[in-house]
Amino acid sequence: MRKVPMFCGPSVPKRRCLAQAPKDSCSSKCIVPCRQLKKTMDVGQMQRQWIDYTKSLFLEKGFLDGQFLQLQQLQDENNPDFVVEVVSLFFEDSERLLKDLTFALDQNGVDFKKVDAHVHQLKGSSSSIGAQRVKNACIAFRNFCEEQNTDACLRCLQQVKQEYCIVKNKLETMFRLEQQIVAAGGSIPTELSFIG
Amino acid sequence: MAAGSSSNWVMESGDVPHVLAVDDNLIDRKLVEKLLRNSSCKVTTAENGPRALELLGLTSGGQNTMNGRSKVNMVITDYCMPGMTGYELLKKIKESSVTKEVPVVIMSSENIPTRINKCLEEGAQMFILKPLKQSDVKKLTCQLMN
Repeated sequence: MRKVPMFCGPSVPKRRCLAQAPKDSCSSKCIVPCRQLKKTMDVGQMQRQWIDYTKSLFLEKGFLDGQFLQLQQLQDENNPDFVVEVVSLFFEDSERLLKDLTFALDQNGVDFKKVDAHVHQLKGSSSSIGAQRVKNACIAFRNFCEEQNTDACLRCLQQVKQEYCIVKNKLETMFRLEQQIVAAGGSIPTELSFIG
Repeated sequence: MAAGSSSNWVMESGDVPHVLAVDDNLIDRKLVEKLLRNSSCKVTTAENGPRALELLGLTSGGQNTMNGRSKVNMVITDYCMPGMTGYELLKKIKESSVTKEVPVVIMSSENIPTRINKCLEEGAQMFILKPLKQSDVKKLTCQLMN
């Protein structure tokens, strides 16, 4: 059986993209769906890939923790988009906070109380949705706020931004995979027993 | 940690508990609201202490804006909020004869024993660590119904 890479991302070399020719290639931000992807994958395969992908987010580098599972368990027929809604709020809120942090640390006299307040907010929301690495980066950040160390804070901000971008990318990929499954008439697996 | 309750605040059988959830963080508000709804509660949210007091009818000159039929059976509030903290809100609720029997639950992401004790001493029903889980909320609402 031909091995089907499930998506192309910025980190995947173009030649591994399913598209065979430039004219049917995906854009550089291609994740899914590729036309060929739709044709060659059935719902079962998509579901297995979703499971593998989701599993990797938890187990490989701890991008997500058990709190994310709590969110998924809250989703039901009455609120079928609950996870996407909450995560979208998280994206909006985080982007605003990161902008505010950048501004606050750019001032001549840095107001560390304000910086700390913003980081506290970001730590809270990332913790509530299970974005573990973002949360941990925020914890480190707060320590340097307490020390009133501008340089260290700037480094922490970079770290937080990086972790945020990565988890945002991962979650958007996951949602796109879910959309694919649903569009193909399947349902999102609810069995995530691999989480300890 | 049992809360004393006067007849005003005791749930009648068949009634749905009405919970006022206070948190300055939008994501946390959305999460606590869903968790409470999943435990069959009616939920009103507020983003800060002053707004919560307004909704409880405790601001000067204000009447109970949630109308007589919609009494609040429990308040759940975040501890760390700008302006009025959850602790200060707790104190205000307990100071008023109108609301002092309402169970107040404090949530916090920080596990600080002195903070926890301070809240319990001031009359908080319970102190819960964030992030909130379904099991935490189920425990709360079970207590409320008994």
